[in-house]
Amino acid sequence: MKLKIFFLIVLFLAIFGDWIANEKPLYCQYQGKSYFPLFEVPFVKLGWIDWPAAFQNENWGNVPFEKVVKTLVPYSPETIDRNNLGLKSPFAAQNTNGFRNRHWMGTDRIGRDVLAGWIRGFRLALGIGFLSIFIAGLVGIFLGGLAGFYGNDRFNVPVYKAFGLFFWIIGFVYWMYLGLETNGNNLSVLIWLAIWVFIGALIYILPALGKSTSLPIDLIISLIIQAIDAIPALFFLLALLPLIKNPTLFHVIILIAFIRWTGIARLVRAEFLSIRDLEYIQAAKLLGIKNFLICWRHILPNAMGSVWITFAYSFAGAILLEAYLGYLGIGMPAGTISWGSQMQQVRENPSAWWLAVFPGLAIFLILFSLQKMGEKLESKVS
Amino acid sequence: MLTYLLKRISTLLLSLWIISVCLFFLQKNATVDVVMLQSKARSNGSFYVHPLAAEKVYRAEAVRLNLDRPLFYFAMKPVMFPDTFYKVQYPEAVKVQKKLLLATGDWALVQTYFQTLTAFYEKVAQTENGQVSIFWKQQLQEMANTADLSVVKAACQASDEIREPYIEELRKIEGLLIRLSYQSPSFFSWLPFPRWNGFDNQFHLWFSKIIHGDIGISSRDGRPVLDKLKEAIPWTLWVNGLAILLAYMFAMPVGILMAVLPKSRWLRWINNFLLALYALPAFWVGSMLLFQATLPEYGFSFFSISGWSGLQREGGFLSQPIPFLLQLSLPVFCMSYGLAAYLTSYMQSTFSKVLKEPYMLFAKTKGISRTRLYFKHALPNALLPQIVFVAGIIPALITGSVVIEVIFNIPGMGRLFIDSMLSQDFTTVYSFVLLVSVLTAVGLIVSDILLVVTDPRIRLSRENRKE
Repeated sequence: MKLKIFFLIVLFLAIFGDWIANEKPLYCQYQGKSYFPLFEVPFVKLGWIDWPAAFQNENWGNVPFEKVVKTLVPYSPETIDRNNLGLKSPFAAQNTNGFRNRHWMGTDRIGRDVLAGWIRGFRLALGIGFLSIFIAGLVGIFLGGLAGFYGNDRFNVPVYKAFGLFFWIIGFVYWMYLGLETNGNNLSVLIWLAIWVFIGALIYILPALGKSTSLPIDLIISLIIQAIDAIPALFFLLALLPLIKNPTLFHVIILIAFIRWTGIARLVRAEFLSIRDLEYIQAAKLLGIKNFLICWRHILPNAMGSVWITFAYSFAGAILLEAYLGYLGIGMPAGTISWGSQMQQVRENPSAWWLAVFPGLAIFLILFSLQKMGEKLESKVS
Repeated sequence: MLTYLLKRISTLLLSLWIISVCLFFLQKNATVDVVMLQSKARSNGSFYVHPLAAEKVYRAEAVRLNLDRPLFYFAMKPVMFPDTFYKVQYPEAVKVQKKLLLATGDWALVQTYFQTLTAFYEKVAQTENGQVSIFWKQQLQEMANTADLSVVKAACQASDEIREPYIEELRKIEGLLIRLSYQSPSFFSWLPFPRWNGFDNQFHLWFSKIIHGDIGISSRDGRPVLDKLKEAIPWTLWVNGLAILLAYMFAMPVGILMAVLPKSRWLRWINNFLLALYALPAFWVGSMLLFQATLPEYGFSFFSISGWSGLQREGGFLSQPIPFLLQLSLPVFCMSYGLAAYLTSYMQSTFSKVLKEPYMLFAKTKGISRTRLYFKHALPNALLPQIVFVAGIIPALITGSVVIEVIFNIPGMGRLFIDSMLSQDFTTVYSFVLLVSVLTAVGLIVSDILLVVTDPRIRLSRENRKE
């Protein structure tokens, strides 16, 4: 119950963080007219609402409003408060007008509000964690299920189809590569790609003739999992990042997902292996239910119990990896404000404890509650 | 048993080979120009060549670095590509020529075009006549770096006065431009053409060198990577080894005690505390300790932030054990507390599982004393998975030690990795990743085999399953 409330608060901060900490006021009156700057941003971008010139400049604190209702924290994570440059402690005297504008968690070296950045950190950590685990879950459940359900000896295809499939995959990769190389605007490459897809459909449709062979799907997937698992996560991440010229958050998410899917796949594979021979599955097979439906309706729901546990732990791992990246200052796009990047500043300014304590506390609390949740799920399953 | 071992080891070797192929191609694709780096390092940072003169420089350097070979055992490229395409070395030229080739489909024409440009450049470089040659050098740089023919055409335009000395070359280039713009690859020249490159390729050379222990030369300072690693490994081993030792020394007794004691509210609190300890990020604790707690004002005068370099110069552990250990105390603490927490709850669960086994009940009914029961019968069975567990956690430990080493400024493997990463020394980075993954894979397999060898029950169940 307490855990639920905690996660709800975290989720709230992650989703509505920008409405809690923002330099744009909720409501203001300027030169006799009323505005809702915080909510009007998309409409202004579309050109539906016109803002006075005073709103266009960057510093919202200096606009002489007649009436104003500010957000709870009247600073954006990127706002630079020129009056409080150079690491103002939360307890030190701050050069702000009034109690309302105080920096409750202090400021960093260039005068950004730590509290606003801290709130932004929730969205970053949760977004990266959730999206990467979502992608990793899709890939892991699919590949792990494939390996576990068919194993090495149950994916039976005619020999000629197996060879056809092999060459088709190689060719498909080749044509896709050429398509990317020519930016998809070379007609003959596109025609070749279409022909190749057609050949693939043909191979699929052709009748099953001749001798059958079983494709060692399990072996192939296990080999890939073993190879990825052999490289420690952080090293792998750091080795993949230099391949991207201008890394964005999306790249970081994909890379974390790429590292994390193996753990989920291994578990799903083991679950599928143990469930696939149970009597009710055999009964379903005898009834002539399609393999996909057996997996989807009858095996997966039973396997998911322990998969949720790995989700919880993987989520914690992804958040930690994101914090590492921010802390080391590698791979995250320049200017990203996260807990890791806030803590990184402590390395240059050892006396600024507030830059370490608050982000670290947030990471710790989230990791702890995720571990706790994993433990709870575990006791529920067993 | 033997078949199981053989199967495990063969899949291990195969997956290591896959890893090395992947890492090789990652290294090749990393966005850094090795030749440029090396040449820069040798000419103290100031290295500039005209793109049309670069090919010569690069080819000489490539021969020295064994890069003048095809990449892999086989390649699959469209029919229009020549089998000697790998001989073009200068990265910019590779990019431009590839684009031109894909647009025209005529390699001979592209070659002639580039040869004409190079000949033009050489003539310009030989006949120094002030402004005119400087102008054409600039124009040629632009021409050589683009595959956009209209840009090249525009670059050829100039007043007659400036064009006059090189009019012959310019006409030739303009003629070639027209021919290039009318060419386009035929429909069937896009078909793939697999080629076997033989064993004289870059990957084979790199891989056989690695097998013989030569994992490359750092592209930053020209030192062998192995030497750098040899300096760094002891530090990492010290930190990790001490951390593991400390964690076990804490976890064994506490875990057993927790398993033996009756269940109570206290135990639940301790369990929660251990969970919290495990969730406490080490890099946070590390940086807090280093920057906030260990200032000399608080009595931590033994620990100096910059103390490492001095110790490093004086030699290893044996020359001055006490300052060395003091200096290691904080990083080791940061590495070990999470591990200790995890191991304690692991020990607790395995020990209480063993206590529930039927043979323990039997021993109890025989009237064996408690200490004998716990230490003679339960402990060996509970200890086994613990010891095997170490091999499995090595990768996580190495990952954790990267950040700890960076925080505490320890010249170990993690910091070497991050430093090479930041200075874009990708030879070190990737050979490093390969080494770590080999260590990890071997560790995992050793732990698996140890488990099978030491515990007859696992072996039995595995054999049963096969039938």
